[in-house]
Amino acid sequence: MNDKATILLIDDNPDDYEATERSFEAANFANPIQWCHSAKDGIDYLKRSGKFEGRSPETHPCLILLDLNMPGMDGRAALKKIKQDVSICAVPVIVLTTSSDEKDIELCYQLGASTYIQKPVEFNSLVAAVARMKDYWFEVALLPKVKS
Amino acid sequence: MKHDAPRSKDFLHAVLDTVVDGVIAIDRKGIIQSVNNAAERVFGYESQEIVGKNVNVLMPEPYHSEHDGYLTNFHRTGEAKVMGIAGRELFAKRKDGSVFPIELGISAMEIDTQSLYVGIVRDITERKSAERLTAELKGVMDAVVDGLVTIDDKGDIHSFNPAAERIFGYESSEVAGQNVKVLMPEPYHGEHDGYLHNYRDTGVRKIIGIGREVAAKRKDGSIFPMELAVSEMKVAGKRMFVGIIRDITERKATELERDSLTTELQGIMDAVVDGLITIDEKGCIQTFNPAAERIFGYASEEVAGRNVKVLMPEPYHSEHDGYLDNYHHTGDRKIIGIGREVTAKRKDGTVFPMDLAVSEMRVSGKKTYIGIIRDITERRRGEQERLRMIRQLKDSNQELDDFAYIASHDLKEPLRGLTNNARFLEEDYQDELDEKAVRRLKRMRFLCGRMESLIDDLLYFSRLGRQDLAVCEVDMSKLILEIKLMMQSTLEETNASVVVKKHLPKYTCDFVRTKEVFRNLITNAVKYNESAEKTIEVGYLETWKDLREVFYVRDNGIGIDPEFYEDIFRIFKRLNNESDDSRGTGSGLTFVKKIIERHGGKISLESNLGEGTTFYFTLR
Repeated sequence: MNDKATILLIDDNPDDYEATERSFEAANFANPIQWCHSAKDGIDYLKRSGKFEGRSPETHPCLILLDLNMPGMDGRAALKKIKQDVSICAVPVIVLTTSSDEKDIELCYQLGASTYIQKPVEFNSLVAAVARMKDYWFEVALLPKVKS
Repeated sequence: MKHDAPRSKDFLHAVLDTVVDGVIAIDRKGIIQSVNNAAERVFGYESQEIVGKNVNVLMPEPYHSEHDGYLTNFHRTGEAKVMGIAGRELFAKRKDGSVFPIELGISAMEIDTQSLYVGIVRDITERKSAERLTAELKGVMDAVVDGLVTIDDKGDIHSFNPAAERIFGYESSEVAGQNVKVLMPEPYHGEHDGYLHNYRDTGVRKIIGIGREVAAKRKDGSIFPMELAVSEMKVAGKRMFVGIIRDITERKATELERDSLTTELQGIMDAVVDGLITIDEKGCIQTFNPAAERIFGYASEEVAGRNVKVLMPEPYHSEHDGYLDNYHHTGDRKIIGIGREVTAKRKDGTVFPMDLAVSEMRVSGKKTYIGIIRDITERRRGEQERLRMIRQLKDSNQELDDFAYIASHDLKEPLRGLTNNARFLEEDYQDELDEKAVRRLKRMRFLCGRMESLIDDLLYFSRLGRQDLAVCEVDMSKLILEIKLMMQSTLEETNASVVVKKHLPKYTCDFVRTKEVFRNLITNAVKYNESAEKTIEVGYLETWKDLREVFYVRDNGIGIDPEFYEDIFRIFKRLNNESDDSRGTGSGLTFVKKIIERHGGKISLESNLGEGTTFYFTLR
């Protein structure tokens, strides 16, 4: 297990960021989280452009946690952009959102999402979800190797 | 004649030569002594050719051979066969051998002591042929099917042929000489003399040479319609009228029937709301009923004879001749007997949609097409209105959908923040917070959870109304069994039992939703029940009150006050004050009602406080 690889969280909501961070802690998820407040920042981070120009290649994410509803470019558009760009499309995207809308679920898988998780409201449920996510992606699945 | 013989002989010859009748004198032996000029002309002989010959040369057989015998017989017995009888009709033979009818008178005389027989011969060929004509005419009159009646200028009947006898029921002898008005009913009977006078005086023809339908009267008094043609003729210088009569009783009856049929048909065509147009095989309009006039704005006279394509907008206007040609050649039916919606053009040029049905028929041997037309502008407008409403409804459904989404996401997001912050506060400051503060933070988190449930229910309710049912045949017994298994622990904990009364039928409905209906009703039956042994009965009735095929869920619970029979179905409405742990959102019965209504069913209840409640519902 690679507990050094960065996990990119794209979510505009600081409460959600805090909850996610705490749930990682609670689930003994040691990987560093890079938080981007907007879809634009997230893509800039991935592409090492904009304000993330020149960031170290080692901080390239092995996994992306993406919220759907954000001001400006939303998660759906961001997902589409990521999956259409060959330089970044290999990173698995986990949609982590409050929406359980069937249309959203279908659309996200169509666009190339690897997993779709509805954010539990109850913190304990969130911790449980994060723990399982960690087990699956870091114990069971193999992730693309981060280029250094 | 005796006193001056030679002179009187010459005189006699001169006289004889001038008379028109032939005169032939023979002796006792039958030898011709003299013939006059007329006789020469009648027989075609010259006098010298014939004088001295036996008179039988002028006779055809059998008289030719028998004549000598007649003479001998006459001389012996004096018995005259022809002598002295004037106007005996016989046949004679000309020099050329032709035989012709004559009238013969013979007298005997003595001239210069010689006994002579003088025959006066009249050629009656013409008279005979006239007589034959008369006989033929009579034959014709007797044979024709039309009645023939001749009258004189006073109106008296002169002849009445067998057909007339048959038509009127009179014998010819009964009416001969009677006035023709006996054959007429009033008022003609009384007026006929006047007609005749009038014609005689003015010469104005009312019926002569014209012919018309008149009423006539039979001998038995019955009146019938006849066709009468009258001609005028002169017979022996007298003015006569011949009436040709045809009994048209039957034809009239047929005509009457046809007329009434035509009238009826016309009435129907005028009355129908659909436009009716008939065209011939070239497409020319033949009839155009009032409804068609109303629909197209043309008067019937305006379009009669014009090509039907005047009623069509482009491109049909230009293509219609082609359609007809095509049909005549191939017999391929594009519209005949099929009917379809087409566009048509009114007189004012406006184009409108219509339903058109076309049939083919033969009228008097000619191919005719009849088009039945219905202006469907209104229907189209209705359809468009309906589509607009549907679109509107879709829009408002979309808004609802959006609202549900907003409720699920945008309302929940701050809620999640709220509950998380309360939690983090509690975790991060647990050393500084006293018991009271911790309880309040817990309460905040509990309320956030409740609010989330309410939002979820609202979302679910809005989805229930929009999502299609997945209808299939459902084994209701199996469905209840599944619920019992699912609720097993609850049922055991609360000492409740679910009993299925009789066997439940298989029923066509949405399995998942129907299960939800039963689960909600059973859950309520257990929850609002204070009996030591909670009994829930599930059953099926063919009829209950005015409902058919009714399912029911009966409990021995606390019962519902009739005052709240309607309130209980309102979303988030709760009747009882429950503890935080057991209290629901108050949406269960609202979902139940919605699901039942989505199936096209109804729900109703009966309840007695303290005894129990029964919910009845149908699923179609």
